[in-house]
Amino acid sequence: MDQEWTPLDCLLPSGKQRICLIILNQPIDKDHLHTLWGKALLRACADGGANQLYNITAGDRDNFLPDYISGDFDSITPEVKAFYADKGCKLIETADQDLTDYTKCLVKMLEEIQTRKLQVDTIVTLGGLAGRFDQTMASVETLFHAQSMTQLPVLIIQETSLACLLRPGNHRLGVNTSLEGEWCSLIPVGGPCQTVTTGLKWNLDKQVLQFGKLVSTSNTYEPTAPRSPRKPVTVTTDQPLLWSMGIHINEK
Amino acid sequence: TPHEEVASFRKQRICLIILNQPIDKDHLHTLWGKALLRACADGGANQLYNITAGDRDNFLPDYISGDFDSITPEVKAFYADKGCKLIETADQDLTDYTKCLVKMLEEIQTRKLQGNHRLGVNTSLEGEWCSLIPVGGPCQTVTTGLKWNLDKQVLQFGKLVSTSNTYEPTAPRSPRKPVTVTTDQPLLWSMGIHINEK
Repeated sequence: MDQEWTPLDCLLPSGKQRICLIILNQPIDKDHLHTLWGKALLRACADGGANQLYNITAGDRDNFLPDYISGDFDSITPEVKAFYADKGCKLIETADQDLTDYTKCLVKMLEEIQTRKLQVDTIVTLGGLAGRFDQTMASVETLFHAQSMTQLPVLIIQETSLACLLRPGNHRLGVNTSLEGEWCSLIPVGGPCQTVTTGLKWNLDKQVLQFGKLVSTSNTYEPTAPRSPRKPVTVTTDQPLLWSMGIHINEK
Repeated sequence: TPHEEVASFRKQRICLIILNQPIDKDHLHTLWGKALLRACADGGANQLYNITAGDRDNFLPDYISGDFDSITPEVKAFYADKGCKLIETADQDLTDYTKCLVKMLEEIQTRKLQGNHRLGVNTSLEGEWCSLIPVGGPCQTVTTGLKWNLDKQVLQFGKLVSTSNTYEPTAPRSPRKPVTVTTDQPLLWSMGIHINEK
């Protein structure tokens, strides 16, 4: 994956990536939703994500009808379920298994992309990084599963954090959208990763990232001359490595 | 109880120490196969050497310790040559057996062979969920007391991560049994805390 890919392109109104959107059961940022919804070729809710969507779109719900809602339906309220069913949204019950609602929703999303022959650059997920700790970890696990399901990047955004699992190999990340927050990090969640980077303030030079030894958190971007664009961050890793970065919220 | 030991015989993880007495061949074969660590206390090495004639390369101890006044030079040379650690523990008030056991416990500690945990989960403050997350790398895990227990499965991102687990149901008014977890690598336990509605 040596072509440059910009994680925060999806939140740029002028961004060019074609995206699909999955909403999980966490409080939604209204601005993020509006930007992502407008661009998305497909939009889906995983179970209680529908409750979140319902709440945040009060007064304008008809303009925010998902293509489908999937899950075991143990979180979606009867009221929300009835509302979207009534509006013609597809309700896809995926029986309880070892897979989470998020994973199953992603499977469905990939099937739909296939069926409809859509050209997609990125799958964006809203929610999944906060709340119950085990469910945050389950979101990360879904990112691992995603790697064997699709070549498309799958990223998760919540509040001021973005997370994305980098495959083994080379990556060039565009970080010059002006939406980047101050911090970024590389986290070897699944196991040790021999890593090389450029473009970070503290780069790695074939060091092994590993819990208990070295984890790159509170990193940031290489300083640039005033009015110079930020250089892309390059990352080479031999195992899946979790990239995570801050999203700049404009004070209003 | 001996009963329990026999019943769970297949499940126990053992370490083996061989002392300077004639060895039963069948016992040796069974125990050797299961043992995570194997050691001889001084002349125990002679016994091992004798009983494994013809197949000695498959019965090399992790270490032989003692004051070495019983082990024969021939046996000592043989195992040294094969790379077994020889740990001379000078004569004190402690027997070779005791000193061998001390070493064994150090090795178990060093190699983190003993990742056993018993977690009390009966405070009434426990929320509904709990989880075991192999952050950092794969963990071979055994649990009891959970709704979905693990039986030597390997927890690993991308393969199996235990989230949204919960506690084994108990009879009404029965206290919740402790959760036991055995792991061979650091394993992240995480659980919900019950918030009292006010």
